Amino acid sequence: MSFEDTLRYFSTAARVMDVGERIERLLATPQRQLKVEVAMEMADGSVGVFNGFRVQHNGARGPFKGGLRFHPEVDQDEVTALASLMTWKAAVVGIPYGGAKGGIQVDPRGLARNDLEKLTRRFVDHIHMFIGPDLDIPAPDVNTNAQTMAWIMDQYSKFHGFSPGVVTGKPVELYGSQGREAATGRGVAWCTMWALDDLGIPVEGARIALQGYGNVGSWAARVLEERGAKLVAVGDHGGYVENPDGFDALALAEHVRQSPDHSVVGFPGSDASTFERVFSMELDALIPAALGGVIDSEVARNVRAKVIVEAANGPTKPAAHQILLSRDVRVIPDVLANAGGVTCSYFEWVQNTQRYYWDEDEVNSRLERILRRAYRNVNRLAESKKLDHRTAAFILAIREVGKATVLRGV
Amino acid sequence: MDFANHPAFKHLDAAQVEDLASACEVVERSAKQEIIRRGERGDAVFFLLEGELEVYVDGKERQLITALHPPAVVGEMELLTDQPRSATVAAKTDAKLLSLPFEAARERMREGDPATLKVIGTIASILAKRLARTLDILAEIADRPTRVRSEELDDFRKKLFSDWSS
Repeated sequence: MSFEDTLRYFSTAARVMDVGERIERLLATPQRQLKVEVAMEMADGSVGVFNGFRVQHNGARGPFKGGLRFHPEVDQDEVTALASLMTWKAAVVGIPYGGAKGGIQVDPRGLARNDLEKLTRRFVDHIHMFIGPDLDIPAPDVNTNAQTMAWIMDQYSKFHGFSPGVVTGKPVELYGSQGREAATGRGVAWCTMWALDDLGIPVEGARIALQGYGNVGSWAARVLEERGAKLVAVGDHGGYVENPDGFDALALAEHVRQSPDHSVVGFPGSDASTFERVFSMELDALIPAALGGVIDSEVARNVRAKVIVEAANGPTKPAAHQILLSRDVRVIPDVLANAGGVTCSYFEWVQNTQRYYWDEDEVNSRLERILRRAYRNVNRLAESKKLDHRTAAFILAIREVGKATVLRGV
Repeated sequence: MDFANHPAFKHLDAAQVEDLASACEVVERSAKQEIIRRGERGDAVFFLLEGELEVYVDGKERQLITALHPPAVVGEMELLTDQPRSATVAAKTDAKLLSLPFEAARERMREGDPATLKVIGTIASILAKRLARTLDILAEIADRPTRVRSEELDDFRKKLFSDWSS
């Protein structure tokens, strides 16, 4: 499981800092764990009982923030680990939040839309006193979306009055932010360009491969293409395709949207390829933007990319990360590379709070400023302490959370 | 409980029970009375037949560890390790116990008396189960958040604001 790997990376950083076992344990322990049972009458006349969780990990740097997922296998341990990850991610990018995560044990595909709405609202009835714009701000996650957030906002507002800032990831028509859809992909593209730049590789003409061409992958490709990079290989659940001259990123996204199984396969002018080929190609940057755990030790030994940018959460296994480092592959870690999404959530919350809404250019330029600062901070720490970028990112996060904790007073 | 029914003697035939019984003595303790005391040397192992006992460990203050009901065995650790009593056991209610003197037990062990060795085997399995339970408790304690001392916090503060501040 990828979240366990990420917690291992946290431990590695804590040990490099030599904070001691007890401080490490203290930092890993969540401040509040809620478990609720939601009983409700379903459309078919039966009564369903659903377990729901919300874990608030560390609030030293601000209100709690993190996704809410609907999945039959959600459990307390998973939610707790993911909540702590959010603490570190917010600290790496320097946005003023603590980490949280929540979930309901349900398979939303097996639920009528009305039941799903009712379940979401009932869940809010159970936890509304523990969330809020200054307390804990949920966001979309696995199997939840802008509609789910709209229901939560509406239900919460019935208890507490008009409160658009209680959730982020809302529809643009209902106090959502411009630019959110592209934000994670933009961040990925920028991190790729900055990393290439640091290694003296020109972005113009750089050879890029992507795994995953959904929202994140396709936006990253479009932004990189604008700067002259060439997307030479791409793959997803359907298979892999190559084009040595570079794909047209927008046309490829359109192909994925229209093809029956929403895959890149069969894009006109592309050659069929395989996972093994793409992950061992001579590349400037390889961007896993789909699944966790795809780069294991065997894959890592064959990677011939100069940079790996982790758009997905936890795509690299810890042992594989070591192999990549020993082979001089620069890895830009997920907590930094895909932080564009949570940063744009922060903007949405800021706009909700000040009741003034920005246009997309404003969002994008602020996004770039925040991510660039985070990238520089991580890079500077990595260079000055001779660390890999992942360890540097976690150390930076532990440092910021640690400082806020001791300044508040323990 | 008749001592012949005590599980410690369950693998013994009637003649063996009778032979072992000749070495034992039935003792009675009234409520609150101690049976063994932590740190002291004893001279017998006890098989609880009736009543309820309580097990304590004396640290800075006396702490109740567990309660024992028939057919518990008490004092078996000293028999096997020849170390002083590891806990204090007192009667919670009036209690009836069968006491087997160490001397008699050890002599029979030396002679390879099958009945005594069977009893020892049963005691060993009781000990193994107790150890397993203790390990479960240890695992649970290990999962609890541990206390951070203020020197550690000072050290952490220094790390944050100087060593790792850049």
